[in-house]
Amino acid sequence: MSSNAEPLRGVDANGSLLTAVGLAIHSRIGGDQRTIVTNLDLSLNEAETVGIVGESGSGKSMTARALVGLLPTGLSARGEVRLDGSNLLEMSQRALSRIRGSEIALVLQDPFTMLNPVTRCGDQVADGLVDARGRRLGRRTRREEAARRLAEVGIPETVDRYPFELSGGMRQRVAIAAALAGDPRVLIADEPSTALDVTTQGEILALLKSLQTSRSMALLLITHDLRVAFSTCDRIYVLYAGSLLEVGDASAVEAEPLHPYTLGLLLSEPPADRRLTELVAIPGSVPAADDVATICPLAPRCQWAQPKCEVTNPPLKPVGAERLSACLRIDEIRAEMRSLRHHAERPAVVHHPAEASVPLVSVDNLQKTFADASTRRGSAPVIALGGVSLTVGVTESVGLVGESGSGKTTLARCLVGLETPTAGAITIDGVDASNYGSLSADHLRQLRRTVQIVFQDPYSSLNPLRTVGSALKEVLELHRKRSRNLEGGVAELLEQVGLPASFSRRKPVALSGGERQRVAIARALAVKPRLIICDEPVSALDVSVQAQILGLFRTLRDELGVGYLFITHDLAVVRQVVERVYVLYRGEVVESGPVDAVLDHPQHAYTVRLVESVPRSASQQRPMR
Amino acid sequence: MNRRNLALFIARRLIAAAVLLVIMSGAVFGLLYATPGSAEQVLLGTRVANEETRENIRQRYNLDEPLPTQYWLWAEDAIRLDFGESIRTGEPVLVAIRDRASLSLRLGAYGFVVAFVAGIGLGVLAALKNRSGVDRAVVSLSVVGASSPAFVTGVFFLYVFAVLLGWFPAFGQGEGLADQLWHLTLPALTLAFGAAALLIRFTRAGMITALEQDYVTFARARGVSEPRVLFGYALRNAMIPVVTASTVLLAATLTGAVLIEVTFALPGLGALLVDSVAFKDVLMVQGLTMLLAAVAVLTNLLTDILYLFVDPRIRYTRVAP
Ligand SMILES: Nc1ncnc2c1ncn2[C@@H]1O[C@H](COP(=O)(O)OP(=O)(O)O)[C@@H](O)[C@H]1O
Ligand code: SF4
Ligand SMILES: [Mg+2]
Repeated sequence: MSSNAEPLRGVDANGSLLTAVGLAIHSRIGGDQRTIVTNLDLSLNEAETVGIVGESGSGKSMTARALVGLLPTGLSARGEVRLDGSNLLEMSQRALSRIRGSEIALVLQDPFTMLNPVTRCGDQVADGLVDARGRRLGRRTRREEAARRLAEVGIPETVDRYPFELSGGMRQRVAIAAALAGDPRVLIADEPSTALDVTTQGEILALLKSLQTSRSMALLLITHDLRVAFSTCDRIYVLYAGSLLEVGDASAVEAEPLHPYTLGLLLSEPPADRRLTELVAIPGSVPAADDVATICPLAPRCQWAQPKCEVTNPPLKPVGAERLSACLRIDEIRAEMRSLRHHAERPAVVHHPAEASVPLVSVDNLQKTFADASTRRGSAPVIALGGVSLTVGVTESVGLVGESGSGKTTLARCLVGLETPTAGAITIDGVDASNYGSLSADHLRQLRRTVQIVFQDPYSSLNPLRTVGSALKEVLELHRKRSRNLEGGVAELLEQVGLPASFSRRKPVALSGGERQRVAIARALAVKPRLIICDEPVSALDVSVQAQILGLFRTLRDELGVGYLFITHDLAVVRQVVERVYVLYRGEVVESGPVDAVLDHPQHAYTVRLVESVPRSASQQRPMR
Repeated sequence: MNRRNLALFIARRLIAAAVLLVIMSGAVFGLLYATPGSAEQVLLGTRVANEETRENIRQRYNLDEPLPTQYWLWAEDAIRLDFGESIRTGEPVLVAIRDRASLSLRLGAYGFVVAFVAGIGLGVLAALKNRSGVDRAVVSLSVVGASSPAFVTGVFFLYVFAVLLGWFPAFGQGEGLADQLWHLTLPALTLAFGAAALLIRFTRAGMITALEQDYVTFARARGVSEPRVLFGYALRNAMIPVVTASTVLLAATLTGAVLIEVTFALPGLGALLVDSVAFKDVLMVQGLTMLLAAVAVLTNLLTDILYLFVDPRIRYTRVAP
């Protein structure tokens, strides 16, 4: 299975099924030409699983579409893509259409838009089926064969269902069955698990892996998640701003990344199995390919950058026998990188605040029922929260984990009065906050000063018309009446979240996702709250930026003593930030306790599933449990 | 969705259609009183106005009854498709309509088929050749079609194809199937022109959107044959907004048809309507407008039901009780 023993394939390696040489993708909109991918070499051997790893916008999806000759309009590819010797980039669409499905197939990123909404799943699977002479099958055989293919992915019952009747995970299975209908030798899967719930993610990856083995086909897995790649792939390619930075065996890369970016990415994705002393993040954000065309793409963010790194875009060069790295200085800095990693991965002890700390927030048997919005009359109401009780102590950080739809956000909205609970009690700092509508102005102000909220989507939570400074000033004015020096207050807030004071003059459009989230946090800090509710605060961010924000949360807690109610689906995030955790499943708390205890020794079946769905590579699996 | 819900849904729509028809019938009945002159005078038309004929008319059309009763009696007759006798010819309105309907139906069907084939075909073509010369030509054609009134197009076609080129006859109905088709071609093309323009616009926009969707890319990415991608995936989805627009289309076609029959001197329902209006033949106008209203309401109903079949998502959300 592993290609450990084989040498890295060269330009026209024999035995490799799919190769790309010097692949370049450009977009042209109006007169503007933009580079999306440059100089990409890639090879995929028979029965091999290869990963392309990169943050969003690095060009993964466009590479995948170029490989099957299906770039969107306005984009074009140059170079070579060889499958069985012929260059796909020079083929007509008609010739390509014969190869697609039977030789190579691509599963797109989003299971919710990938299937034809008006056609039954069985028919869609059958559309890719042809008989030995390449003709469509008869009606009866089509249905039987479609059912068989759907059974192969574990959902035979969906033959007569429409996509909109199915969950994301089931749709992804239908898509996989459809892509495999023509029995291709190469399957490209673009982020097959990204849009799904954590537990479903693991199932889809396991399914792909088992199909890859049972059909002995080649799988090109595209992911933004280095850990997913380690757990599923034989070899990986690391893509950044349209350039490949590192290539190597998955286990070798995991053991020792040979490019500062790979290392940064690895350290940015905190492990779920232990808390790290320090969260190391790559500063800044991902540049556009054209902005770094003539330098090392990482140079603006690399702690080891030197003037010579800004002279050319360094090509991939062999390091040792089987590895490629595009870092010019890799030989000089290898030891330093190793010690940085060693230092960063030391496990930290979770400090529990003095036991029996006074509860700041206590939620008792909270219930919330929604009338079903999609069908107006007569249908059963949706129970979002079915009697949830929890407490958050003063200066304590508490996690709330669960998949989408489990009621996490509803709980958060109830806590800050955006939603009124159907039954149950909320007490915050001694004030009964079960019904915000009936509170006096004084109490309302007291609550606002105690609890603040930060949302998932940094794009929608800031007013696009106002500068950062005026947004922050407004909150300061409202809550710190005595403070005269507002400008100073704004600068101080920005500094607390790691932004220069000059940002106060910017509007949200001029900020990156991570910067916007920092501003949102600064706005929450303006009232000097004792608790910040964070609803998936990092899940919309790039991995490298995610680590910066998590680090910021940890720093703020240490410096300001603010506590968090941290809502997330990501166990790794929870492990890094909180002391105690509640597991929410279908509107009920199924398990709670200290984060180490719950994640290391889960009791409830759902928690067990959650913990097991965290991708783990072979080397990680052994020492665990 | 189950059968019962579907039946309930259709029943609800039928009731709504019936209510609409009743309201419209009130308006149609009111035409008699909306026409200048007293009802008796209007119904008398150009006949000699002696006491006997007057009395006959009062009897026949219940003019001495209170208004609600008059409407009720009129409606009872209307349900039996009895709209009285033409003031102009004395012929029963129903008979006159029946005699003329066949020509209009043939014209309508011919025009409709041409509009659908040309409109959807050209719309798909333009979408496939998006931003090319072909696309621009088709779009220009549809702009012309949508903005020129039917009688202008009709006169233009007449001049070019009948007078200048002599390919088609300028008027008349012809004898025998082939000859009739030949005679109906120019009017049908005229009729189709405006409707096709709208169809091109909707189909082209729908196709361009659909072709950019992930499900089309994914279908191609797994080797689904191109005709199946274009028709089963892209067009099938692109047709959903077209179905929604078909009511607008019908309105355009109906008004177009009236003018076209006059332009081409075809003795169909449209020509009958124009003549009857000119002659203040209120009873004939009542019969014709009632017919048009019924056609419009029924098309609406059909659109709603058709919608259920083109978009399964609607079937599940809308039909659920
Ligand atoms: N249809 C398109 N037209 C022009 N540019 C595009 C299009 N789709 C994606 N891009 C650009 O290509 C770059 C790479 O995108 P993509 O391959 O989707 O990244 P990834 O899959 O790694 O997140 C991005 O800068 C994006 O803006
Ligand atoms: S080439 Fe220079 S800037 Fe680029 S990764 Fe290596 S050390 Fe950093
Ligand atoms: Mg992508």
